[in-house]
Amino acid sequence: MSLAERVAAASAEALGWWALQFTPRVCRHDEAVLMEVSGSLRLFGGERALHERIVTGAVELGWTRCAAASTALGALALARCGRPGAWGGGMDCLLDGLPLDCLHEVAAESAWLSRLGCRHLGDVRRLPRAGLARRSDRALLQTLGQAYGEAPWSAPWLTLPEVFEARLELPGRVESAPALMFGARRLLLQLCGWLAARQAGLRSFVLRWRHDVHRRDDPPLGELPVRTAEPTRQPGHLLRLLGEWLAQVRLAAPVGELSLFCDEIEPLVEATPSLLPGAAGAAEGESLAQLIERLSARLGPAQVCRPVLRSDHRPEAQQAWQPAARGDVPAMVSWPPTPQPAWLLREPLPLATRRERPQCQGDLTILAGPHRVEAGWWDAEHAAAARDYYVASNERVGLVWIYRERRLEEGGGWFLHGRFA
Amino acid sequence: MDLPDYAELHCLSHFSFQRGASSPKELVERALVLGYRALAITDECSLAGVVRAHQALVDVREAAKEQGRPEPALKLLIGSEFQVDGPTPFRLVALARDRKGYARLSQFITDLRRASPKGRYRVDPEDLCADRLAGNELLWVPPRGAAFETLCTQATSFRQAFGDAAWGVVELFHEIDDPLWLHTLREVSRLSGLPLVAAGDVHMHLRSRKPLQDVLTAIRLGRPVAECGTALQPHGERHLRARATLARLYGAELMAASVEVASRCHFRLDELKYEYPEEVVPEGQTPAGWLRHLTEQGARERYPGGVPDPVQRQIEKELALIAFKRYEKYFLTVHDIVQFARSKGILCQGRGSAANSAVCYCLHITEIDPARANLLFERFISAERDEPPDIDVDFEHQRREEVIQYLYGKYGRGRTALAATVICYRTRSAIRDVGKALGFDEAQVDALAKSHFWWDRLEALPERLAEVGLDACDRRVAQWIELVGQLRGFPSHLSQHVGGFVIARGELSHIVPIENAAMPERTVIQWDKDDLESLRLMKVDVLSLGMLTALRRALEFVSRRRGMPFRMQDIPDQDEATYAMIRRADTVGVFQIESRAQMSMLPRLQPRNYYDLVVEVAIVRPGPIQGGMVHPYLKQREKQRAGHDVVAELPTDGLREALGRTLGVPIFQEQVMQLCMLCAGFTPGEADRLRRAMAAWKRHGNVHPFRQRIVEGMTANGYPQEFAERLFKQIEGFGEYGFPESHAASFALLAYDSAWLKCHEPAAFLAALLNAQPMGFYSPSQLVQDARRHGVEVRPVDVSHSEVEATLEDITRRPQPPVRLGLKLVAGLSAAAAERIVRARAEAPFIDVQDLARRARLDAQDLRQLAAADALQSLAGHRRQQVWEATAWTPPPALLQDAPIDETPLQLPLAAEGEEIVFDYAALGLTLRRHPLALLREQLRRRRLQTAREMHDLPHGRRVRACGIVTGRQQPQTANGTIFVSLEDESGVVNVIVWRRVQERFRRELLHSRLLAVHGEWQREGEVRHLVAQRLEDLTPLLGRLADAGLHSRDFH
Repeated sequence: MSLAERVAAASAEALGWWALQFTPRVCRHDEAVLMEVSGSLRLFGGERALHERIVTGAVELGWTRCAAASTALGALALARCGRPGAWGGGMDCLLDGLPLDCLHEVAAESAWLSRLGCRHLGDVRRLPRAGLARRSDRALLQTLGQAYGEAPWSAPWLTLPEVFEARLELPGRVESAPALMFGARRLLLQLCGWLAARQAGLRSFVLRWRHDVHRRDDPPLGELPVRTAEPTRQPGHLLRLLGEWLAQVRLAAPVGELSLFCDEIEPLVEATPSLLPGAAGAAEGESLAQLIERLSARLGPAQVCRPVLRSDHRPEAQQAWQPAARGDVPAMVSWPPTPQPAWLLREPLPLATRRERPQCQGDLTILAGPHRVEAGWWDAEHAAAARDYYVASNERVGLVWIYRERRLEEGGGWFLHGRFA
Repeated sequence: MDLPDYAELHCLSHFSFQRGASSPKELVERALVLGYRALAITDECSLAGVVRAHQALVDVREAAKEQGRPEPALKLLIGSEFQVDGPTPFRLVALARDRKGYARLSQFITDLRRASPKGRYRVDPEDLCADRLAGNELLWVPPRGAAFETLCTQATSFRQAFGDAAWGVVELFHEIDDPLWLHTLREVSRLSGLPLVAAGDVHMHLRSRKPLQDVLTAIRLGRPVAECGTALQPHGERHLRARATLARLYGAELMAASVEVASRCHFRLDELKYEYPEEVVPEGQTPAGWLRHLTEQGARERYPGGVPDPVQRQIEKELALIAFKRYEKYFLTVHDIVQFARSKGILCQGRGSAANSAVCYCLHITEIDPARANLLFERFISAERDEPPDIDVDFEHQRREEVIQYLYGKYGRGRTALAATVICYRTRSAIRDVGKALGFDEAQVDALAKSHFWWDRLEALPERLAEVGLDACDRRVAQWIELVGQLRGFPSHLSQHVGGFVIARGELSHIVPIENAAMPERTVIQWDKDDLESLRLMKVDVLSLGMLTALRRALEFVSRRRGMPFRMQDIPDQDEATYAMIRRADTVGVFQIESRAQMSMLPRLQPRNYYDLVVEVAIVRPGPIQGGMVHPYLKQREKQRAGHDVVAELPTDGLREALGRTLGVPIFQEQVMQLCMLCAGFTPGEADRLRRAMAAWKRHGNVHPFRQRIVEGMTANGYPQEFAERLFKQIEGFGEYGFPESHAASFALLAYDSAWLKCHEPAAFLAALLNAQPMGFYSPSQLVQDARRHGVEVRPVDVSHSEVEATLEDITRRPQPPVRLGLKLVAGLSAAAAERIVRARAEAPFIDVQDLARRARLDAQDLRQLAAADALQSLAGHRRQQVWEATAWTPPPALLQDAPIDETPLQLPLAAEGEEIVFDYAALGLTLRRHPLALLREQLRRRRLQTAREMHDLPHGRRVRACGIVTGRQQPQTANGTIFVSLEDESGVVNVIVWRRVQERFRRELLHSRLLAVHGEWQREGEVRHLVAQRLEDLTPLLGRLADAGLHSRDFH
């Protein structure tokens, strides 16, 4: 399935759950959702009122084509052509005028049918049945019969499960836990749709993973139970939470299948947003990650930062702060093999010179260097660095990390950049 | 000057792809400025850059010699760098000491490259044995930061393996641990006995290339520069440094060692004496004697009535020259290939300077009769200019592979390989790679790269930037542009030349390393055609040409029509009807002169003889058009027609000699060199450098030195300054696009031959073109329509009549036989099924569809495709009926093999013409019914849209409204962004010109319409007609379902 197809499927599932409020007989068929509403007409005030209500609601969910007809496939064909359809009689006439591509089973044979001069379903129906049967797939005649109400049609009606459990086969073996997030995300979104249909929020859910797709009997390789402080069905929140947790998991072996399970739900009460942590969370000891998750969510992710190492030749660019809630922990960077000062000045301090020797509470003696650094020309915020670093010392300041500016347009000169402890 | 001498022994050029940031030429020139004693070019597992470095040095030397300056003392060392795997990888540099060492090095690289997929190699420590690299100085480049014990072990085993040829390299870059590292290496050296030498691990010629070097690193790693961190070089020290700096870092001893290593290496690339293959001369014969024998034998065939005196004299002159230059075996090699092709009935033709010779005519390498075009033969190989002979041979495109397999079979894979083509960064790819490396987002990079059409000059970039919302003053944007400018022209990888084969007497890999090509079973050398030319190595171009396939097939048809063999040389020369047709620009399908641009030139140039065609072929090219040669030349022709002797009016003998044949206007590439030698006093060597520089003008804008030289030279010879300047301007416009006369001459011959066939044997010509598809500018549909407009009857595909390919029926019919379309045209019908149909029919005609299906063993799919193409007409009636019958067929099980299908017949109504046309296009890509527009004509009339025929005779300047199916969109690189659109209706073709301004307003209509209406102004100049568009309208919906059925425009750039 392509991404677009997956999105469409998820959306159809959501529409199906929504449609269950009108009738228990809802099913998904191809790209569409079909509803059998004859039993609900009275309840919803008649054909017209119900039709209008369904159309309005479907539009809000992003579904613009909607048709009514006395057979399921007839309605489907009409909807695909953007026709509103008809309640009661007259459907056959309408169907006869539809193009061949409105029913998949007919469209599959349209190449040769159109060369016979068939443009519409009616043209196909006028061909001799026996001749048609000889030349086409059985599904063609069967589908036509079902659309015109000459043959029965049935479908597995959609039911809303009491307990949410969904599996996902991963496209390839996944070897690190954070990489499971991609698959888990899909399952979580489905879970949120289910919760929405049930008007509920969850308290906890469990993510499980297996090594092999085909051996269901094996115990799962591992599982991750996640609890939330309050009932929720916000996908963003749940995703972030799961991401934090997964980041800490180590996989014993590559994973081939994921499943998500949830049975602890309660009717969702809209929570008032509050800045301070509520009493519920403070009761028991929280992990640091949970605390960060909560703080980031409430204060805004940019407010909670953590230091990270960066690979760069410029000492001032070797560390940076990034939002702590951001899942991506940078890979360990290799440390430069040369000595590094323990303390780095936020801004290099210009040094005076006397007899061409840099001064820092007195003459500095150069012990080692130069160490040439030319980097950062690409950096939009800082000027490119072109410096010769030296290790220098005197009795008062101890060992220091100083450099001589090599860009003459900057006036050259000496700077103190760090101290060795 | 008491600076110590220095030789740089470890230096990468940009042929170490994504590592080196300077060209070999820049490195050599910089090393000269710095006064190095020697410079080694040591690209990673490659010798791809060494010839360019060599050539750069030769150029500098020659220029110095000519100007009386002392020759520079720089010595070029040839070497290569390798990464050696192992627990602690290290690098190794090998420098060739002598010719034998070079051969070993080249073989070593070949072995590594051949054992790995394209573009990669792998060296294990055990590969490093002394005899594989004997004759080389070997430099161990220790891994900085490795443990002392590891270093000692590596040094010791290196020393043991290579003895006195082994050195340890010290590379210092102003890093804080330099003193410690130097100390460590001295210890290692003391313990292992491995002497130390200074080197620079050079990646660029100047420090200022550091940003580009960083970008290359980023491209190699596939992430933005800002995320490359310490993978980037910490500083710009890996450039060619001043000797004073080096002296402070290394001290005298290490520097002296570098000079010592350099002095041991005395191999020069010009020692590579090319040795021609032996087997082209039979035992007991001398090359000269054998060539003379074959030439004389050929001459007797060519001139059965005796060789004319002038031709005999020409032959003698050429043989003497060939003997003087010792090129006999080259001619014999080409002759051998051509002989093979002729023996297999494969049509071929040579072109190139050496091909235009009486000798080549006698050897059947070309068909250009020296008696017919003696003009050309004076400029055969020049004795003074030391250029290698150049013969390209075109073969039928459907059969070239046979020739290639013959070469491999005859000389073996060790002795022959394809020349490389160096794929370089173009502006667009440079924008992409630099943009990504600088971290611009994908949409921006994409927008800029796309908006930057490839004919744009880089100078126009700031405007393009504004269009995609980038500020040219922003520092990052400015960096982007500057780096794009630097990266343009850099090689990015080696690819294979279309057909340039190098053949050696012995192992080719002893001359140049051989790599795997992307295509399986093909191997390429590491040098391209310019490199080969620099070193005077022989290459034979074995090229493929669709027109030769078409010609052979057409000649076969004509032979059958006439009942006797009709060969290319039997086509009569100087046929007036043919030239009249060419002058009318009635040239759809004719070689070379069928394009829009060529067609609009023909009525103006009015070709009347062969040489006019040579000019025609060469003049409609970017070079002459950009150089502004077209109008002056046409004006001169007009004057000549009016009775002026324009050649006599040229001021000097020199000009008359160089430009007389083109009436005083330089049109061919050769004329530029000739002009410079005759009028500006160039030496042959200088002219040769000019020729090579011209190829690179576009990229480097490096014209200035020649400009001065030409203008000064000409004024010194008495030409007015203004005249010289104007001439130079024209030459400059030529740039790399000047077309050589020697190639135009051969192309013109094919153009004439194909035009003659189109004129006198249009049916045979159509059938041949259809069978040689895909080729040329026009689709089968356009070719068929053109032929029908010329009265050729074309019959539909039918299983009862068609062969696999198009054929002539009733072949002796006069004036023209009908063309029967072939089964090959039916979309989705397998070639094997088509063959079976023809074979089964040969046994007995088909009775009905079931009979056909059974005997030709067709499956349901084959039969449905045939019905869809209306090809069952003779068996089942109209198409709907055919489809009904065809679809009933399913291959029955063996027992029921002969049981007929029992079914009540169904009578289906006849389809409307529109429907038939739609399905014709869908299944065949063409229709023999009316043109789709004929059906729409009523509707188009109501919109007051005119037909092509109605417009044809309108006067210049009339406002018109045309409409047609878009059959082609062309954006020639010379047309300054103008787009040419061809519209086809039932009466003919209208050529539309869409200027830039209109393109912008009607972009969507222009790019997406299949049926397009154009309102504009009719322009007419003699026989040249255009419609200049002012407003475009997309009428595609009118085509209704026609639009979905495969009416595709052929878009050219």
